[in-house]
Amino acid sequence: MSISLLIVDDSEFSRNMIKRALPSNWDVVIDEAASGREALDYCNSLQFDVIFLDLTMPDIDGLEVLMTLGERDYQSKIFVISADVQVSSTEIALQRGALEFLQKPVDADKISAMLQRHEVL
Amino acid sequence: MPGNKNFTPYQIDALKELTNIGMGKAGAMLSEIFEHRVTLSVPDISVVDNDKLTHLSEKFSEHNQVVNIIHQSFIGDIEGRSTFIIGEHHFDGLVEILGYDKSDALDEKRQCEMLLDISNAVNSTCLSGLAEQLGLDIELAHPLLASFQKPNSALEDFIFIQKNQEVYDTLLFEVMFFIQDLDLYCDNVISLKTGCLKNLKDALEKVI
Repeated sequence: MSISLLIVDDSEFSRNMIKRALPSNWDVVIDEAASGREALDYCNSLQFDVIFLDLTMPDIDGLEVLMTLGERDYQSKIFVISADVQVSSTEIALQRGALEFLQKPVDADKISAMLQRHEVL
Repeated sequence: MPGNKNFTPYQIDALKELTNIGMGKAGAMLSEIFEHRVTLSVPDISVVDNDKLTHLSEKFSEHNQVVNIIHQSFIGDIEGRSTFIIGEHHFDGLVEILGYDKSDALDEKRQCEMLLDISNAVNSTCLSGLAEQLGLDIELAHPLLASFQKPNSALEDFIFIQKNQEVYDTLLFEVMFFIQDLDLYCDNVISLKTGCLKNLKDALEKVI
């Protein structure tokens, strides 16, 4: 059965880089959100198995998305993929329910290893 | 006029993202220096024009009565100038963090050095990060303090100078850092020379 994945990033280039780095053997159906608000709208109506979430976004940032999804008790495996590599950002993201923090730029090996660690792959 | 017209929206998006990665590292460095969380703005990349620069001035002046402006040129596969603008800062805390003596907090020369140190750290991290991702070689010159603890009207002077520098009249990258607990704004503006746009574009195409 396919995994449902939501990629949340305001940059189309970044979303494409992530898609390019996904394991070729991963049976996945991908949706994309270009903002935090769009991601929350998606999550209102759809249940995603996995979410890749950027932090620095213009309207609602990733940390706020995490907080809102936590308040809604939204059940999903959420991975933060961000350029904001401050220790405090990682800590807050993990406190708010992210399973792991992956530093941009991503590559196929990093993503595969992360998915395997959390038994998504 | 050269600028966004020469780049597709997708190329600009890619540049924003690559800048974001470089600036993210710079933000982490600032966070370490100031020992506080730094909020990063989404990078803004646009043609340098009068309206844009005026907007930059207004935005920064809202938060800072006093500004320090540090210029740093870079040469290599892409060339231009980075301008780091930082609001007034109390140097008492900085001396310890940057490894200076306590007495240096009151020494104007040392204060200037501290600002240059911070600017250099941010610029080298950010520009090196951007260049590395694009597979480009760049070399940074020494930073120069253009304004020290001046009223924010100095920013108008900077803008006036920038407007008249035709050679830099191309792409402007801007990221704002905000350190909430210190109520401190920093702004990093990178402007590229017209002549290097082809190199930038070629490098970008390889990444895309």
